[in-house]
Amino acid sequence: MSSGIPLQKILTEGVSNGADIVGQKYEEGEFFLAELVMCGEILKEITMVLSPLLARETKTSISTVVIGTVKGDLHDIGKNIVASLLRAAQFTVVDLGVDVSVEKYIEAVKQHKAKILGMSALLTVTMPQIEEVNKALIDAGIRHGVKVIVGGAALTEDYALKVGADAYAENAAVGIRKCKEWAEAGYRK
Amino acid sequence: MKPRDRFLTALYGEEPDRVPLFEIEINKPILRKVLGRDATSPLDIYSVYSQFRLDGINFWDNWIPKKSFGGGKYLDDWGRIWVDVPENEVTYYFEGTIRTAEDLDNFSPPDPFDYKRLERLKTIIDNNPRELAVVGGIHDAYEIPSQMRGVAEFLRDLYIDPKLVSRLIEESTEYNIELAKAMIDLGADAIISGDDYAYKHGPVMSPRHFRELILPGLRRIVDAVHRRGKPFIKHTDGYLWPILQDLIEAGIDALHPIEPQAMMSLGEVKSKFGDRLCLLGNVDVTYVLPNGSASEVVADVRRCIDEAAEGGGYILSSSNSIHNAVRIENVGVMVEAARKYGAYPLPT
Repeated sequence: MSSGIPLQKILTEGVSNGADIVGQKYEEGEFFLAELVMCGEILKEITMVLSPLLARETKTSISTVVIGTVKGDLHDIGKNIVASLLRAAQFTVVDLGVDVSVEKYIEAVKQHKAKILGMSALLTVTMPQIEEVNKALIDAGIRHGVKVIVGGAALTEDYALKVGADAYAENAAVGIRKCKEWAEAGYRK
Repeated sequence: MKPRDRFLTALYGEEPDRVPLFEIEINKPILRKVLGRDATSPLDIYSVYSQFRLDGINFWDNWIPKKSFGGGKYLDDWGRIWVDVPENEVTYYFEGTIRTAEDLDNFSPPDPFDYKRLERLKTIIDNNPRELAVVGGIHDAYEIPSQMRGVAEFLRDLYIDPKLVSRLIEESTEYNIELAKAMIDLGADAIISGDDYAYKHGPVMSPRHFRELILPGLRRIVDAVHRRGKPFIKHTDGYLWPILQDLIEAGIDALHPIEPQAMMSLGEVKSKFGDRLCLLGNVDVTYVLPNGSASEVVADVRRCIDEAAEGGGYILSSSNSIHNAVRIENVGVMVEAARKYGAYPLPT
């Protein structure tokens, strides 16, 4: 920044691209979960350094993503990595944490006018929650306005699409790419 | 053949009378359905294993909550925080409390010889009318240190504070060496260690970190078990190929559960390492056992037998445990199919 590079450029070219490279190396098998976690840590520190300056400028946000791990499931590493990579890609992320009830997801999507809802489910027993949330979005009349993306060890693409999700992310890098795709297409696709 | 002999014959790489059956754990709702009431003692669990006609049973050292925060949240004697999830009837690890070297300085590990930790195992060893193989469940060099510190924090510390990582691993390794010895001295037929090194996409850390930090502790525990004359079964979920050769060089005798959903092919592991490892597992527990039809269960059992049972050194089990979503009828179908199609000599 002292060399005069604008903040926005640092975020989009430096941080966002750097995060993309980490995601790529993970997909290629060069980086492992430990490196993704380390990346999340670095992104957090960057945010701390940059946030006083971000506060002064108009915050560019692509849109809001609500994310959480479903009810009955406490796993959070994958979700946390996705959240930090989405922030690096300039999404606003509302992280509901773990063991999130159907009601809490619906409330958050409404309150934050989220364009994307991300759910993490790692246990076979908690997979049905995804269908429950999808139904609740329909009942609340807001399903059409939000894209639903899911991830987690227990899930498969077949299952995810069958229960009404718009996309299945087999890893964090795939998930981020999909969210960016939707954003670029104005959430029409 | 007695269940214990059948199980141990396979574990030592030979052909018993038929393919043995084992499960590392059976969850509470399943126990309740079989018993018609809540399981309240290890003998209840033994009864369910007997009713399912399994050949081997596992008991971990008893988990001892040190402090209850109320609302189903506990601190245990490893500095780990656990949370009850009532809908699953399972208590899950939630987070760690060791944040600094000073925290670890002030920490005293539990006593591996504390009878409260070994009581359940001892009860079964002393009350084993069907002569099942009794396996002692321990941990090794990754899971406890990771949980003491916090899973993400521990992975980050591989880079930021490897000294703390090594100290945490040492605590767990020392404890589990003594625990394994105690279990064997009580009469356990084999030891299984439960640390999950990997998940669907591979090991949680790079092979370099794994070899440097985790493998030495594992090797010491395996050696201790071998010096007591017993076999060591390594349980780990996930896609293991990047570290499988390392595990074999650490001296493990057997591998469980060889997760199909993590792209671990039972047949491939058998062909590469079947001469050095007894294999346990592989009946799919994410779709087949919870939601599959009887014929799908039979087909999966036959697939496992085809891929691994030739020449012995194979024990059939689910690809994780009999968890809450498993359909009970399918367990019966699995056992029946193993008895029907797993008799040695196998049909050519």
